[in-house]
Amino acid sequence: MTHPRRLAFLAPLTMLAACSVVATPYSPSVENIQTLKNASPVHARIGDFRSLDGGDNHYPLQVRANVMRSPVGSSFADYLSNAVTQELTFAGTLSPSASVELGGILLQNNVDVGVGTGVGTISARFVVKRDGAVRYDQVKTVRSEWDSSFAAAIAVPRATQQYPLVVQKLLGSLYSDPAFISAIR
Amino acid sequence: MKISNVLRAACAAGMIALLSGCAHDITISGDNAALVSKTASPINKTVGLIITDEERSKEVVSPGGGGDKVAYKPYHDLELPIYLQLSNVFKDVIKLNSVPDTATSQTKNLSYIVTPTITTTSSSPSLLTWPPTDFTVTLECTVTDPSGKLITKKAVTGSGHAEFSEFKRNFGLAAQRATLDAVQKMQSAMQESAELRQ
Repeated sequence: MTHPRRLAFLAPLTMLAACSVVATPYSPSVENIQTLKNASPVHARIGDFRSLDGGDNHYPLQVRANVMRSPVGSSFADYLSNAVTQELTFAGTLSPSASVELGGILLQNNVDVGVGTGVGTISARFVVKRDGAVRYDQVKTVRSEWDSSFAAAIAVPRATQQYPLVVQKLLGSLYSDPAFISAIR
Repeated sequence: MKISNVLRAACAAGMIALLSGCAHDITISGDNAALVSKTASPINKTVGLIITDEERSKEVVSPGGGGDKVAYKPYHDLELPIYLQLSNVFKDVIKLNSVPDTATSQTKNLSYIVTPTITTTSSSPSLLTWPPTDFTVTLECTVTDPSGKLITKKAVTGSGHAEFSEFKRNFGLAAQRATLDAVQKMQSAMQESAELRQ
Protein backbone atom coordinates (compact mmCIF):
# COMPACT_ATOMS: atom_id res chain seq x y z
CA MET A 1 0.00 0.00 0.00
CA THR A 2 1.41 3.39 -0.96
CA HIS A 3 1.89 6.05 1.69
CA PRO A 4 -1.02 8.35 0.65
CA ARG A 5 -3.36 5.36 0.43
CA ARG A 6 -2.28 4.19 3.87
CA LEU A 7 -3.04 7.65 5.23
CA ALA A 8 -6.40 7.74 3.50
CA PHE A 9 -7.21 4.36 5.06
CA LEU A 10 -5.99 5.21 8.57
CA ALA A 11 -7.53 8.68 8.87
CA PRO A 12 -11.17 7.53 8.96
CA LEU A 13 -10.24 4.74 11.40
CA THR A 14 -8.68 7.33 13.70
CA MET A 15 -11.85 9.41 13.49
CA LEU A 16 -13.97 6.40 14.36
CA ALA A 17 -11.88 5.41 17.37
CA ALA A 18 -13.77 5.70 20.67
CA CYS A 19 -13.33 9.12 22.27
CA SER A 20 -14.57 10.16 25.66
CA VAL A 21 -17.00 13.06 25.97
CA VAL A 22 -18.65 14.54 29.04
CA ALA A 23 -22.34 15.35 29.44
CA THR A 24 -23.09 19.05 29.84
CA PRO A 25 -23.28 19.89 33.56
CA TYR A 26 -26.82 20.02 34.89
CA SER A 27 -28.54 23.38 34.86
CA PRO A 28 -31.68 23.52 36.99
CA SER A 29 -35.00 24.15 35.32
CA VAL A 30 -36.84 27.31 36.40
CA GLU A 31 -40.14 25.43 35.97
CA ASN A 32 -38.93 22.71 38.33
CA ILE A 33 -37.71 25.24 40.89
CA GLN A 34 -41.08 27.01 40.78
CA THR A 35 -42.96 23.74 41.21
CA LEU A 36 -40.93 22.99 44.33
CA LYS A 37 -41.35 26.53 45.65
CA ASN A 38 -45.11 26.33 45.11
CA ALA A 39 -45.17 23.15 47.21
CA SER A 40 -43.61 24.92 50.19
CA PRO A 41 -43.19 24.47 53.03
CA VAL A 42 -40.95 21.57 52.00
CA HIS A 43 -37.73 20.48 53.66
CA ALA A 44 -35.85 17.47 52.36
CA ARG A 45 -32.37 16.02 52.34
CA ILE A 46 -30.67 13.98 49.68
CA GLY A 47 -30.31 10.27 50.33
CA ASP A 48 -28.60 7.54 48.37
CA PHE A 49 -28.70 7.62 44.56
CA ARG A 50 -27.34 4.56 42.82
CA SER A 51 -27.39 2.95 39.43
CA LEU A 52 -28.75 -0.46 38.50
CA ASP A 53 -26.36 -1.33 35.69
CA GLY A 54 -27.29 -3.61 32.83
CA GLY A 55 -29.75 -3.63 29.95
CA ASP A 56 -30.15 -0.01 28.83
CA ASN A 57 -28.03 1.36 31.64
CA HIS A 58 -24.27 1.19 31.22
CA TYR A 59 -21.50 3.47 32.36
CA PRO A 60 -19.96 5.15 30.48
CA LEU A 61 -22.80 5.69 28.07
CA GLN A 62 -22.20 4.75 24.44
CA VAL A 63 -22.85 7.67 22.05
CA ARG A 64 -22.02 6.47 18.54
CA ALA A 65 -18.28 5.74 18.57
CA ASN A 66 -17.80 7.83 21.71
CA VAL A 67 -18.46 7.16 25.34
CA MET A 68 -20.16 9.81 27.47
CA ARG A 69 -19.27 10.24 31.14
CA SER A 70 -20.82 12.23 33.93
CA PRO A 71 -19.16 15.56 34.78
CA VAL A 72 -19.80 14.82 38.47
CA GLY A 73 -19.03 11.68 40.48
CA SER A 74 -18.49 8.38 38.78
CA SER A 75 -21.92 7.50 37.38
CA PHE A 76 -25.06 9.05 35.99
CA ALA A 77 -26.75 8.29 39.31
CA ASP A 78 -24.35 10.88 40.74
CA TYR A 79 -25.45 13.23 37.94
CA LEU A 80 -29.10 12.69 38.92
CA SER A 81 -28.31 13.23 42.59
CA ASN A 82 -26.48 16.44 41.74
CA ALA A 83 -29.43 17.62 39.62
CA VAL A 84 -31.93 17.05 42.45
CA THR A 85 -29.59 18.71 44.94
CA GLN A 86 -29.26 21.83 42.78
CA GLU A 87 -33.00 22.18 42.26
CA LEU A 88 -33.82 21.69 45.94
CA THR A 89 -31.11 24.22 46.81
CA PHE A 90 -32.36 26.87 44.38
CA ALA A 91 -35.94 26.28 45.58
CA GLY A 92 -34.80 26.78 49.17
CA THR A 93 -36.07 23.34 50.19
CA LEU A 94 -32.81 21.49 50.83
CA SER A 95 -32.23 20.89 54.50
CA PRO A 96 -29.54 18.42 55.65
CA SER A 97 -31.32 17.95 58.97
CA ALA A 98 -34.77 17.29 57.46
CA SER A 99 -36.65 14.13 58.42
CA VAL A 100 -37.66 13.66 54.77
CA GLU A 101 -35.07 11.93 52.59
CA LEU A 102 -35.17 11.62 48.80
CA GLY A 103 -33.20 8.83 47.11
CA GLY A 104 -33.26 7.04 43.81
CA ILE A 105 -32.12 4.22 41.58
CA LEU A 106 -31.25 4.90 37.95
CA LEU A 107 -32.84 2.06 35.98
CA GLN A 108 -32.48 3.10 32.36
CA ASN A 109 -30.12 5.64 30.84
CA ASN A 110 -29.88 5.57 27.10
CA VAL A 111 -28.95 8.06 24.38
CA ASP A 112 -29.49 6.96 20.79
CA VAL A 113 -27.88 9.41 18.36
CA GLY A 114 -29.41 8.63 15.00
CA VAL A 115 -28.61 10.35 11.70
CA GLY A 116 -31.79 12.46 11.74
CA THR A 117 -33.12 12.19 15.28
CA GLY A 118 -31.52 11.78 18.67
CA VAL A 119 -33.46 10.06 21.43
CA GLY A 120 -32.77 10.13 25.14
CA THR A 121 -34.55 7.80 27.55
CA ILE A 122 -34.12 7.87 31.30
CA SER A 123 -35.98 5.87 33.89
CA ALA A 124 -35.47 6.09 37.63
CA ARG A 125 -37.11 4.82 40.77
CA PHE A 126 -37.57 7.58 43.34
CA VAL A 127 -38.04 6.80 47.01
CA VAL A 128 -39.09 9.29 49.68
CA LYS A 129 -38.65 8.30 53.32
CA ARG A 130 -39.76 10.14 56.42
CA ASP A 131 -37.98 9.07 59.58
CA GLY A 132 -36.99 5.87 57.78
CA ALA A 133 -40.52 4.94 56.66
CA VAL A 134 -41.19 4.82 52.92
CA ARG A 135 -43.76 7.45 51.91
CA TYR A 136 -43.30 7.32 48.14
CA ASP A 137 -41.82 4.71 45.82
CA GLN A 138 -42.45 5.15 42.12
CA VAL A 139 -40.70 4.77 38.78
CA LYS A 140 -40.62 7.75 36.44
CA THR A 141 -39.65 7.36 32.79
CA VAL A 142 -39.16 10.08 30.18
CA ARG A 143 -38.17 10.13 26.53
CA SER A 144 -37.00 13.17 24.56
CA GLU A 145 -36.19 13.64 20.91
CA TRP A 146 -34.05 16.23 19.16
CA ASP A 147 -32.69 16.96 15.69
CA SER A 148 -29.47 15.08 15.14
CA SER A 149 -26.94 15.07 12.33
CA PHE A 150 -25.04 12.67 10.11
CA ALA A 151 -21.78 14.37 11.16
CA ALA A 152 -20.60 13.00 14.50
CA ALA A 153 -18.83 16.33 15.16
CA ILE A 154 -22.30 17.91 15.37
CA ALA A 155 -24.41 15.00 16.61
CA VAL A 156 -22.30 13.93 19.60
CA PRO A 157 -21.87 17.40 21.21
CA ARG A 158 -25.58 17.99 20.66
CA ALA A 159 -26.36 14.76 22.50
CA THR A 160 -24.16 15.84 25.43
CA GLN A 161 -26.12 19.13 25.54
CA GLN A 162 -29.50 17.44 25.34
CA TYR A 163 -28.78 15.04 28.19
CA PRO A 164 -29.44 17.59 30.99
CA LEU A 165 -32.73 18.53 29.31
CA VAL A 166 -33.83 14.90 29.52
CA VAL A 167 -32.94 14.91 33.22
CA GLN A 168 -34.88 18.17 33.66
CA LYS A 169 -37.89 16.47 32.11
CA LEU A 170 -37.49 13.45 34.40
CA LEU A 171 -37.39 15.62 37.51
CA GLY A 172 -40.28 17.70 36.19
CA SER A 173 -42.39 14.54 35.94
CA LEU A 174 -41.45 13.68 39.54
CA TYR A 175 -42.26 17.11 40.99
CA SER A 176 -45.56 17.31 39.13
CA ASP A 177 -46.74 14.09 40.78
CA PRO A 178 -49.14 15.13 43.60
CA ALA A 179 -48.24 11.94 45.49
CA PHE A 180 -44.60 13.00 45.52
CA ILE A 181 -45.40 16.51 46.72
CA SER A 182 -47.63 15.06 49.41
CA ALA A 183 -44.83 12.71 50.48
CA ILE A 184 -42.18 15.41 50.86
CA ARG A 185 -44.42 17.92 52.67
CA MET B 1 -15.73 3.29 -11.14
CA LYS B 2 -12.91 1.61 -9.26
CA ILE B 3 -13.24 1.06 -5.52
CA SER B 4 -10.25 3.35 -4.91
CA ASN B 5 -12.04 6.17 -6.76
CA VAL B 6 -15.17 5.62 -4.70
CA LEU B 7 -13.08 5.75 -1.52
CA ARG B 8 -11.40 8.96 -2.67
CA ALA B 9 -14.74 10.56 -3.47
CA ALA B 10 -16.14 9.52 -0.08
CA CYS B 11 -13.07 10.89 1.73
CA ALA B 12 -13.29 14.16 -0.20
CA ALA B 13 -17.00 14.51 0.55
CA GLY B 14 -16.36 13.79 4.20
CA MET B 15 -13.60 16.39 4.43
CA ILE B 16 -15.74 18.99 2.66
CA ALA B 17 -18.59 18.28 5.07
CA LEU B 18 -16.25 18.58 8.02
CA LEU B 19 -14.56 21.74 6.84
CA SER B 20 -17.66 23.54 5.63
CA GLY B 21 -18.93 26.26 7.93
CA CYS B 22 -21.15 24.22 10.19
CA ALA B 23 -22.60 25.67 13.40
CA HIS B 24 -21.35 24.10 16.60
CA ASP B 25 -23.76 24.01 19.54
CA ILE B 26 -22.62 25.77 22.70
CA THR B 27 -24.27 26.62 26.00
CA ILE B 28 -23.87 30.25 27.04
CA SER B 29 -24.57 29.87 30.74
CA GLY B 30 -22.57 27.72 33.11
CA ASP B 31 -22.13 27.43 36.84
CA ASN B 32 -24.72 29.68 38.49
CA ALA B 33 -23.50 29.21 42.06
CA ALA B 34 -22.14 32.78 42.05
CA LEU B 35 -25.68 34.06 41.51
CA VAL B 36 -27.16 32.54 44.66
CA SER B 37 -26.78 35.40 47.13
CA LYS B 38 -29.87 37.15 48.37
CA THR B 39 -29.16 40.81 48.96
CA ALA B 40 -29.28 42.15 52.49
CA SER B 41 -32.39 44.20 51.81
CA PRO B 42 -34.33 42.72 48.88
CA ILE B 43 -37.05 44.90 47.43
CA ASN B 44 -40.28 43.81 49.07
CA LYS B 45 -42.15 43.14 45.84
CA THR B 46 -43.08 40.12 43.71
CA VAL B 47 -42.09 40.38 40.05
CA GLY B 48 -43.09 38.40 36.99
CA LEU B 49 -40.34 37.39 34.57
CA ILE B 50 -41.63 36.95 31.04
CA ILE B 51 -39.78 34.63 28.68
CA THR B 52 -42.07 33.07 26.10
CA ASP B 53 -41.75 29.53 24.77
CA GLU B 54 -41.02 31.04 21.37
CA GLU B 55 -38.10 33.02 22.80
CA ARG B 56 -36.81 29.98 24.68
CA SER B 57 -36.59 27.97 21.47
CA LYS B 58 -35.05 30.81 19.43
CA GLU B 59 -31.62 29.83 18.17
CA VAL B 60 -28.92 32.38 17.38
CA VAL B 61 -25.95 31.68 15.11
CA SER B 62 -22.87 33.88 15.38
CA PRO B 63 -19.22 33.65 14.34
CA GLY B 64 -16.69 31.35 15.94
CA GLY B 65 -13.13 30.79 14.80
CA GLY B 66 -11.72 29.29 11.61
CA GLY B 67 -14.70 30.40 9.54
CA ASP B 68 -17.05 28.25 11.62
CA LYS B 69 -20.13 29.40 13.48
CA VAL B 70 -21.62 28.67 16.88
CA ALA B 71 -25.30 28.13 17.67
CA TYR B 72 -27.02 28.69 20.99
CA LYS B 73 -30.36 29.63 22.58
CA PRO B 74 -29.86 32.87 24.54
CA TYR B 75 -33.27 33.04 26.21
CA HIS B 76 -33.23 29.37 27.15
CA ASP B 77 -29.71 29.59 28.54
CA LEU B 78 -30.19 32.90 30.40
CA GLU B 79 -33.58 32.04 31.86
CA LEU B 80 -32.12 30.58 35.06
CA PRO B 81 -29.39 33.23 35.59
CA ILE B 82 -31.93 36.06 35.16
CA TYR B 83 -34.41 34.27 37.46
CA LEU B 84 -31.71 33.89 40.13
CA GLN B 85 -30.60 37.49 39.73
CA LEU B 86 -34.17 38.76 40.17
CA SER B 87 -34.60 36.42 43.15
CA ASN B 88 -31.62 38.16 44.73
CA VAL B 89 -33.06 41.64 44.19
CA PHE B 90 -36.76 41.06 44.90
CA LYS B 91 -38.70 39.22 47.60
CA ASP B 92 -40.11 36.75 45.05
CA VAL B 93 -40.03 36.02 41.32
CA ILE B 94 -42.57 34.17 39.22
CA LYS B 95 -41.62 32.97 35.76
CA LEU B 96 -44.37 33.54 33.18
CA ASN B 97 -44.74 32.36 29.60
CA SER B 98 -46.75 35.38 28.47
CA VAL B 99 -47.85 38.83 29.57
CA PRO B 100 -50.26 38.26 32.47
CA ASP B 101 -53.80 39.56 32.40
CA THR B 102 -55.12 41.69 35.25
CA ALA B 103 -56.60 38.73 37.10
CA THR B 104 -53.32 36.79 36.98
CA SER B 105 -51.34 39.81 38.15
CA GLN B 106 -53.68 40.24 41.09
CA THR B 107 -53.74 36.53 41.97
CA LYS B 108 -49.98 36.31 41.93
CA ASN B 109 -49.63 39.69 43.64
CA LEU B 110 -47.29 41.00 40.93
CA SER B 111 -45.89 44.49 41.43
CA TYR B 112 -43.69 44.56 38.33
CA ILE B 113 -43.34 42.72 35.04
CA VAL B 114 -39.76 42.22 33.80
CA THR B 115 -39.23 41.57 30.09
CA PRO B 116 -35.63 40.83 29.06
CA THR B 117 -34.12 41.39 25.63
CA ILE B 118 -30.84 39.63 24.85
CA THR B 119 -28.35 40.33 22.09
CA THR B 120 -24.93 38.75 21.65
CA THR B 121 -21.71 39.01 19.68
CA SER B 122 -18.92 36.47 19.33
CA SER B 123 -15.54 36.23 17.65
CA SER B 124 -12.23 34.43 17.59
CA PRO B 125 -8.99 35.36 15.86
CA SER B 126 -8.09 31.69 15.47
CA LEU B 127 -7.88 30.23 11.98
CA LEU B 128 -7.84 26.64 13.19
CA THR B 129 -10.23 26.35 16.15
CA TRP B 130 -13.95 27.08 16.20
CA PRO B 131 -14.86 28.04 19.81
CA PRO B 132 -15.30 31.81 20.27
CA THR B 133 -12.62 33.36 22.45
CA ASP B 134 -14.50 36.64 22.89
CA PHE B 135 -18.18 37.01 23.61
CA THR B 136 -20.54 39.78 24.68
CA VAL B 137 -24.04 39.55 26.10
CA THR B 138 -26.16 42.68 26.13
CA LEU B 139 -29.07 42.30 28.50
CA GLU B 140 -31.86 44.85 28.55
CA CYS B 141 -34.64 44.53 31.12
CA THR B 142 -37.82 46.52 30.67
CA VAL B 143 -39.73 46.83 33.92
CA THR B 144 -43.39 47.80 33.82
CA ASP B 145 -46.24 47.73 36.28
CA PRO B 146 -49.05 45.21 35.59
CA SER B 147 -50.95 47.82 33.55
CA GLY B 148 -47.99 48.18 31.19
CA LYS B 149 -46.73 51.54 32.45
CA LEU B 150 -42.96 51.78 32.14
CA ILE B 151 -41.19 51.88 35.50
CA THR B 152 -37.59 51.68 34.28
CA LYS B 153 -35.40 50.17 31.61
CA LYS B 154 -31.90 48.91 32.37
CA ALA B 155 -29.30 47.79 29.83
CA VAL B 156 -25.91 46.27 30.56
CA THR B 157 -23.26 44.51 28.52
CA GLY B 158 -21.19 41.66 29.88
CA SER B 159 -18.03 40.52 28.17
CA GLY B 160 -16.13 37.29 28.42
CA HIS B 161 -12.77 36.12 27.12
CA ALA B 162 -11.27 32.65 27.20
CA GLU B 163 -8.08 31.28 25.69
CA PHE B 164 -8.17 27.98 23.86
CA SER B 165 -5.97 26.41 26.53
CA GLU B 166 -8.73 27.13 29.09
CA PHE B 167 -11.55 25.49 27.17
CA LYS B 168 -10.83 21.88 28.02
CA ARG B 169 -14.27 20.44 27.22
CA ASN B 170 -16.24 23.63 27.77
CA PHE B 171 -16.31 25.38 24.40
CA GLY B 172 -18.81 27.99 25.57
CA LEU B 173 -16.53 29.30 28.31
CA ALA B 174 -16.09 32.84 26.92
CA ALA B 175 -19.88 33.08 26.47
CA GLN B 176 -20.54 31.79 29.98
CA ARG B 177 -18.21 34.42 31.44
CA ALA B 178 -20.01 37.11 29.45
CA THR B 179 -23.40 35.90 30.71
CA LEU B 180 -22.28 35.93 34.33
CA ASP B 181 -20.80 39.40 33.88
CA ALA B 182 -23.99 40.74 32.29
CA VAL B 183 -26.31 39.26 34.90
CA GLN B 184 -24.20 40.51 37.81
CA LYS B 185 -24.13 43.99 36.26
CA MET B 186 -27.91 43.87 35.86
CA GLN B 187 -28.27 42.90 39.52
CA SER B 188 -26.20 45.93 40.55
CA ALA B 189 -28.17 48.20 38.22
CA MET B 190 -31.48 47.05 39.68
CA GLN B 191 -30.28 47.28 43.26
CA GLU B 192 -29.24 50.87 42.69
CA SER B 193 -32.50 51.79 40.97
CA ALA B 194 -34.61 54.15 43.05
CA GLU B 195 -37.61 53.62 40.74
CA LEU B 196 -37.85 49.94 41.68
CA ARG B 197 -38.02 50.70 45.40
CA GLN B 198 -40.97 53.06 45.11
